[in-house]
Amino acid sequence: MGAERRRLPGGGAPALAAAFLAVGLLAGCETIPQSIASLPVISQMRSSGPSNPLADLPPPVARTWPDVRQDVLNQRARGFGLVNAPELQRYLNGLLTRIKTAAGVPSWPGGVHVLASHALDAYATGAGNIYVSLSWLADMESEDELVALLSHEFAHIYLHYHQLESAVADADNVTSVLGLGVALTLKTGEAARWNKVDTLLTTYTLGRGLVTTIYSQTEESAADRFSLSLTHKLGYSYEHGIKAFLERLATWEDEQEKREKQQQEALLAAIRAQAAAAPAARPGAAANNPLNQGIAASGAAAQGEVAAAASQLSFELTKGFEKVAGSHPSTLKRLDAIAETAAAFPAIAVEREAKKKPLDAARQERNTANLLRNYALAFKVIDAPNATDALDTARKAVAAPTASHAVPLFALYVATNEAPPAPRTPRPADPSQMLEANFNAEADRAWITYKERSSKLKDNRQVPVAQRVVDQGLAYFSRAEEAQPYAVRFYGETKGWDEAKRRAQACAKDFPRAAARCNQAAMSPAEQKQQDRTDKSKKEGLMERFFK
Amino acid sequence: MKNQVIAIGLLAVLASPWAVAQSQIVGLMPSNQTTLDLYDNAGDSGTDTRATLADLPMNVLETKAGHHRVNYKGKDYWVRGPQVRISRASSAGCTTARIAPTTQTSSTPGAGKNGC
Repeated sequence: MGAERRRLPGGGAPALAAAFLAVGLLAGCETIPQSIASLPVISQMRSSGPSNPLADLPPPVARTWPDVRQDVLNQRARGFGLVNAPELQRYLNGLLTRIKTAAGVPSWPGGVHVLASHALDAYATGAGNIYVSLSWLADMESEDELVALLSHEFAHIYLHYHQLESAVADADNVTSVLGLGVALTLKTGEAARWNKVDTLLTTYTLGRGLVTTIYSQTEESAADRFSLSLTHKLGYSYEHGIKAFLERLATWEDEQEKREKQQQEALLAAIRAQAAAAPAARPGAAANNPLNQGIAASGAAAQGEVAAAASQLSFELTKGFEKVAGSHPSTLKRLDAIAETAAAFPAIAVEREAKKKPLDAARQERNTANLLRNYALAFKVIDAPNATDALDTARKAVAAPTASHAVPLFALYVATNEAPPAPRTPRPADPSQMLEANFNAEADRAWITYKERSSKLKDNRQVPVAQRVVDQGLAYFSRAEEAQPYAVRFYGETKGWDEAKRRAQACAKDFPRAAARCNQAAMSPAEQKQQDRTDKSKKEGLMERFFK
Repeated sequence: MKNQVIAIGLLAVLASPWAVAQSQIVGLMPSNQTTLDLYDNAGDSGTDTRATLADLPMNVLETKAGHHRVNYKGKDYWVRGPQVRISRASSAGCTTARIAPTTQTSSTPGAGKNGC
């Protein structure tokens, strides 16, 4: 599939024009690394109809594998980390072994890990690991659907799409060099205004974003075709496999979008209500142009409308941008693409019964069933910690086998924080102490518990104890790049900003991908304030350039 | 202040988990199709009854051998599975993503990135 001509998922001239624009922008920048410009994107975007999913897979690409264990450690430091579910993982890894064997690479490294995430989420890393959220595993209806998801993620590994990461990392190093130019410019009289270095950086960043976006969207469609091919070879159903997997994703995304829309409408109503309740504003001294004078004169209600309209516009723009620039093509387009393939190659969509029993058996295994039940309770509590039964529900969530898992412990922690004082049960002095149950269970350990516990101790002026917690956490997470930004910030706040900068330098050296976040974390409040002021001036300068 | 409290309360209610009803046919596949063939029996090859997009959604009453049974204008028919898009229930939400948002710095974006 890597060698074939790929169909542009966006499908239209605008996307292609954007790609050419992006490449044009990149080509105009002499310092742009060749690794991005030479990615096989533009030359393979011409539409040529659906490719044959029954054909042989392209040969695998040789590569150097990153450390699998370090990769897993890093995922433990993201979000709520991973779910320790040995029985479920045994089943998932059995499926992955069959997928690897069908692809002709049975000895490749990597395994399947369960994300402690409430979302429908799944991704693969260059180390060969696949991460799938617990919610997705709970929701799937058949093994066909699960194998389709795992095959899709394995496609990213097999087709070596992680080469994009190193290309972007190279490009980010160029950004760092350009950053030196910014630092020099800051010492000149131009510091607070939009200058040539800003223009160069913006042009470069926009161009890189467009190229990586289009490349990522192309990846997703190719991974769907790869999944279609492998699941068929393994004897699974099209209807209950990849089609069901994408349908579930589309349903969930629709529901999320509706929920966001409802939230936005509630926010708009609140803005309007607040403005209506406020006394009418008088024209102020700052109203020095006709637009401001008009707004000021129209009173608070009208200001509320303006604020609501601005909020609505911002929401629509954000959603619109996500649709155009998201790294995934729309799920409906992906469904269309597999439907076109099924129509062109009917053998791929031949009727096959769904294999429900193996997945059901894996979920009904005693430990896994208890774990799924406890996480469902914990998600419910975290979603509504002030519900009357939240504390009781949270206590059930921390029963075996999840007594030391981060998500159930976090549920108990937030429910305890929200619970009204009980007559005979004294409230714990510091509920964050209960998170320490996660520290002692290596298989369940998540960086978020160390962050929350140390943060609360610091806020309560118990700095030495907080430092011990972070030191203890770093003893385990020292090789996890995702743990570094918080550690840099924490030491800045507790040991001084010189220490934070020293740690940020070490972070940039050891974890180039986290360099920008570590440097940001090492900024003292005064430096942050100065940067905010400079950013504001630059934005104003940009507005002047556009509107004067 | 009171309005802010009301707004936060409203957002909390809206953010709570939702229930997706029974499976429904919510679209046609590919999405540029405008009519849906309805069959008297699962596996029939000929049809003279067609529904349109305006007739969706339709509840799925039964699923058998790649076909779904639906009720259209008071009579039961069968539709071919690959020709329709089904809504599929999910218990997922954005609870963990809201508390601990993650960056995509170290992996290929996954299958559900658009959700939260």
